[in-house]
Amino acid sequence: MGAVTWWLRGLPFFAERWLRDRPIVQRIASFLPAAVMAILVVHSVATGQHHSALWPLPEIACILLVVALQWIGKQALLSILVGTATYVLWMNPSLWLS
Amino acid sequence: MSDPQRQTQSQFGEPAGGLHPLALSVPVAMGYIPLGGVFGFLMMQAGAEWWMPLLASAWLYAGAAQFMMIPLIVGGASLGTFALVALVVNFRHVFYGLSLLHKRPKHPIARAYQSFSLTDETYAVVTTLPAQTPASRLVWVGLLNQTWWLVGTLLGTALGAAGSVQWVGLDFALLALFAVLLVEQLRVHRQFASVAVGVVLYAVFFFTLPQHSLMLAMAATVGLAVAWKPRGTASKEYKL
Repeated sequence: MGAVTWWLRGLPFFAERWLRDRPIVQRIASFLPAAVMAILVVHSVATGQHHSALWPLPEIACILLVVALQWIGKQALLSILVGTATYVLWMNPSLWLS
Repeated sequence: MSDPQRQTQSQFGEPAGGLHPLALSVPVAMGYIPLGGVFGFLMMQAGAEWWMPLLASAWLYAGAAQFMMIPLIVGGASLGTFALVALVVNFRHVFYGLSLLHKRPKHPIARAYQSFSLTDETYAVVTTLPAQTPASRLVWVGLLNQTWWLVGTLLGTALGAAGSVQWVGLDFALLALFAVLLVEQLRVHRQFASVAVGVVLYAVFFFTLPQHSLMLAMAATVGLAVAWKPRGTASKEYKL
């Protein structure tokens, strides 16, 4: 797995000469990462374990919470921490229900 | 090329070399230490040996792809499956590298490390730096980022080895990280259509070929990104 990752990451550096400064590269770089992140988010929810009968509502709600926190606060740690804590508490009612 | 430090003056006359790599890396540290912690912790919960998370974080260092290793280890996946997962998740790194072609450091070891260190988070930091930032700075940021990831992995491994915890849903942290990265990409590039494209493509494959939906969606997105032509673009720039 490491070898594949290394090879893939090194690939563009070897093809540098004929790829340099092409506008297509700038366009791809501004478009692709967001699309891939969106796919990963949807894939993680769709293939994740169902921790409650309400699936996928808690997952979607907590993701929206993370997105809102990140957009407004710009603090990645805060967004991740609060979102994950909310989700974990929601999925583990025995932790806070007496 | 002469000393890059002297040439890094922005058009407004201020030196662009003012940001120390440590300062640039702190936001990523804020994410990487806990996330590395989650990775180390989850690996131990899944039954890994104590040295496995650290080795993965040092040699593999793939952020998201490392988390996908966990169910593969639990399920006893073959080497081929590992390679395929790595290929799918890391394909986007090809394009991360492409957009940084003008930022290569001179020393060959630094160059090699730069290509290795391009995780999503490092790439996100690096692409928001001003254009005059010297290439060496990008390498230092990558190095620091991996250090945080390793520190986090170490802490998580220690916690996970101490005993099993009964909480479910901790791996939501990974999902949260993806969401955070998505927000930051949108903030910088404002290509909101990319989200719709990704989701629609994934949905198409999820309902037709669910076994391979991730790989197909990624491939289709890459293909679309390459083929997409904004209005008014001259066709001659596609000549290779």
